Amino acid sequence: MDEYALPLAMVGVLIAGIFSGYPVAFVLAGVGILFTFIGDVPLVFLNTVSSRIFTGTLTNWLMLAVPLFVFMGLMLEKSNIAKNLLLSLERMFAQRPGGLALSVTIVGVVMAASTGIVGASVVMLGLMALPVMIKQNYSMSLAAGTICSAGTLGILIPPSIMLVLVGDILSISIGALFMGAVIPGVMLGGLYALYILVVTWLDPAKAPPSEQPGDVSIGEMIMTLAKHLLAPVLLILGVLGSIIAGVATPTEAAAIGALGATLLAAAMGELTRKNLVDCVQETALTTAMILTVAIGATVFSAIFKRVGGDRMIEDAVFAIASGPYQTLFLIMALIFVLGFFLEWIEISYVILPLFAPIIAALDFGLANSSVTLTWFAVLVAVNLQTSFLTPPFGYALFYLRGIAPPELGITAIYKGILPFVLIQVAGLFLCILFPALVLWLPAAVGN
Amino acid sequence: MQSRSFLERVGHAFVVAGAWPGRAAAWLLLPMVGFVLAAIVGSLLKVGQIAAWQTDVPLFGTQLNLNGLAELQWHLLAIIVMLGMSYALARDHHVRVDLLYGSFGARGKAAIDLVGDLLFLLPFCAVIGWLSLSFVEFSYSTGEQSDYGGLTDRYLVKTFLPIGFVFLGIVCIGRILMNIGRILSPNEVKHG
Amino acid sequence: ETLDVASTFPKNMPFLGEGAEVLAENIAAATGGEVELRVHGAGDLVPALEVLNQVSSGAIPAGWDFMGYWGGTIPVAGLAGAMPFGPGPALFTGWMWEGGGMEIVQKAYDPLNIKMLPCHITAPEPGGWFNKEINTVEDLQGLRMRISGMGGQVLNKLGASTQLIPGGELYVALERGRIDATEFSLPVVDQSLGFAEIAQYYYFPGWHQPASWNTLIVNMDVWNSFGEEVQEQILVACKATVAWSLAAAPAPQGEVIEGFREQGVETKRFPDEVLVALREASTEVLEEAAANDEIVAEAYQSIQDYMARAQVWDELQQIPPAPAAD
Ligand code: NA
Ligand code: NA
Repeated sequence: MDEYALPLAMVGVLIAGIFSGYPVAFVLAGVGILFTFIGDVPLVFLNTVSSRIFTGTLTNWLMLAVPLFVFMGLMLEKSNIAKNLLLSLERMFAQRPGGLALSVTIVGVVMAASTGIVGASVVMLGLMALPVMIKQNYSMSLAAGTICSAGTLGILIPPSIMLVLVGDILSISIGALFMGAVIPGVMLGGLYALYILVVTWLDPAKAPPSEQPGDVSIGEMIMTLAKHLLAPVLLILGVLGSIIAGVATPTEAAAIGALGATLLAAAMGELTRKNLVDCVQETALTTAMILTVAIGATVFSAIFKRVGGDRMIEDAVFAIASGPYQTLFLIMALIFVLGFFLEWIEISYVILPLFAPIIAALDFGLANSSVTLTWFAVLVAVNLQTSFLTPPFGYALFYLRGIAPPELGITAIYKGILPFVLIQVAGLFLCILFPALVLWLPAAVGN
Repeated sequence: MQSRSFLERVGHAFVVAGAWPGRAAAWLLLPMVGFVLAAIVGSLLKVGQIAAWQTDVPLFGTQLNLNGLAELQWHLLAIIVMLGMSYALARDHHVRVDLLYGSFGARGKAAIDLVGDLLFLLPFCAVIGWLSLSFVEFSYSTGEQSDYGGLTDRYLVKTFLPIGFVFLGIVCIGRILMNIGRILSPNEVKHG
Repeated sequence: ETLDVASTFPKNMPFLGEGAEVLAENIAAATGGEVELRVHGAGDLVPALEVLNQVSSGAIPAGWDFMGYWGGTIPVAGLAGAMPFGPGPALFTGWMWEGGGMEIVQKAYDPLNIKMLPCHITAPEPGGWFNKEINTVEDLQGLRMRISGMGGQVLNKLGASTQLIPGGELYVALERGRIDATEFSLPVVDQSLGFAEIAQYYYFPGWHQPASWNTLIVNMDVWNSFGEEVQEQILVACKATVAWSLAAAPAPQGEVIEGFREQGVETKRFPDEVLVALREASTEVLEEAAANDEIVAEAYQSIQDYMARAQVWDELQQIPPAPAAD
């Protein structure tokens, strides 16, 4: 047990530090530095940390999309376009309780299919929907849970950078992975929607309908709908279309979105000096906030591995596992638990190379080991998507907290996310029980 | 306005001093968007080289091509983030888990932040800031540049690592002074 | 002693990642278990492209790389890693180990405090995955291709728009037509990335990388801490791994390419006219690089001399290829 003392102590101090309320990013970084000294790690090893901060975070193309989408979201918010869109969407879903939450989930699926950037989706949905939800007296928890869960679908539904990385590490076809993740991703979106329907049916007070008068004429409704929908639909088409048409990569498309939002704001006469200053400053603050967490996580995990954290994990699985499903279950449980504390990229790099050969050799009654790995990779991806939602260290929660008004505390966010985490786990079990959910589409397309 | 103690005023000055570069760097966002858009247009027009000249210019060498334009984008991102860290700290914009923290009084919050700054943040700034100097030095002495024929002088952007940690450290020291002042101040003061 | 090795390739990547494992076995065998390598996949210890930096700083003792990755830092690594229209695997091995190549290249690694061991040579890579036919030199004009290193500079000379697309977005970029072409690695490696699903043509020959070196780089302090005997043993293990890489690469590629053809990919050759133009542009790029750096100049001259000497023999021994079996 002695050999695991350091990694266990690290996790302990991390949890204590995070719950003290001190900024998460610096708890992560500080614990890493602290244990460099406690663990007697040569200081020169920390040079790898500068490298990781620079290459892994600052020069990372995917991160480039964060400020771009945040800027786009803020612009849409400041120019009231977002609010009008959500209101119009809600009207489409009639005056029923939960209509807005359902709209958020649907918009979340659409955005997921256009980008793979969780931060952007959560921030955009949050900026658009949260103010309206608060105004309508939504339950804070339900609002937070809906936005975070819908916003994380983008990491699973292709195009998805997570699938690309996982496919790369496992050396399996990324095309097959993309196909494999479609049904599970859409299924999860459906399960979220189902949950919202049931909850708001049981307790309509949690998601009151809009107070907009319901007796406007049909013609009038169509007119305002068209007016409010036109701008944002054009924008989404622009972002999505530029990727589909091959004009831009998903990251570059974010810039088209930023430009489009700015032009729309100008057209609405809302591109004032004050709005521009606010957008720029808030974008910088939010981007720095998000990437500082990534930097902190980088420091933590480098030292965690160095003091034997990865071996601890490996040993734990080998000590308990026996049959194929038991092994799979253990690995999934492990990824789920690690997801509380670590970032998905770190988990992928630690876990996948360790266990991929073992999984590939196990017999789940699938055609061959490459099919087994594809299935496994999608299971991992669903599981890793959950890590965005699980406290204390869940990116989606932080993104939302970063843009939410003060009355939405992190505690309410934690409470709201819980049912959605359970849905995720249920979805994961479905994919394990019915591998066809993952494997049918790749096979169908392959033929 | 509550009157502030001397410590708090000095601390505040540090915080302001450490935050302004990030505040200014925020505006790099606009050229960054511009460069991404220019890269899209350049690719549509199937441009390779955008411009070439005779004299050697720092960062660019003697030409700018599409790859250089792509690298410029993350150069700006790196600067926004490295300087923005201290800006966000000064504005208390970093994520906290306020489960317990939210219920503490002003003095309790100041105590948590003081311990955290001393135990976590200051060592982080000092150690990584110091070590990142050799990281920059390696890049400078080897003349590291793009492997794609993009930008030269990679050390320039890497320099923002130590610079960022210096400003983060300045804000951190300012916070430490302010929080000591708050804890020592006789009357409980509400801070926004 | 266990040496942590940071690889620039994913741990399970066929051939390239595998090479590090074979080397580890060979070194363990040669040193009687005295030196063991523990290979970490790309990104595990440090991001792939920071391996050189951190082996130099001593943060990690050793790395496993494609030499060409360091062209931005060590100009000669760009040339010796893979030379456009340069020597093939057998000749490049000869130059590196017996023709003075190792000594020249090592000169550039000395200031970084790194020992460079060329232990793995990669067979010619294909010319790339294309969604646009290349029939004339004009077709290269405006070709949007993702290609790294010297090959990219050569294409730029001919008016192509070479693009820096991160690995993670390559698949989507090619699928959606944001780029017209991309090169990556050997067919067995490319297979895992799924390019065959989205590209129409697979072009040959790989003029930009007729052979490429993968090396074990060791921090010089660590290297010097080994006794002379152990150093010799490691060199022997290194050579044995070169032999493995020469033997292991060619055979499986054919089968993989057959698989691509079944998926509807058409294998094509660049027309001779295009190859001539590419060769001229390559010479220009190489000469410019030689003019900018002394060690590059020395290595370039040395490789050319070596190739010229070998050519006499090669030409005398030329046997026409067997008639095609279709
Ligand atoms: Na997506
Ligand atoms: Na989590």
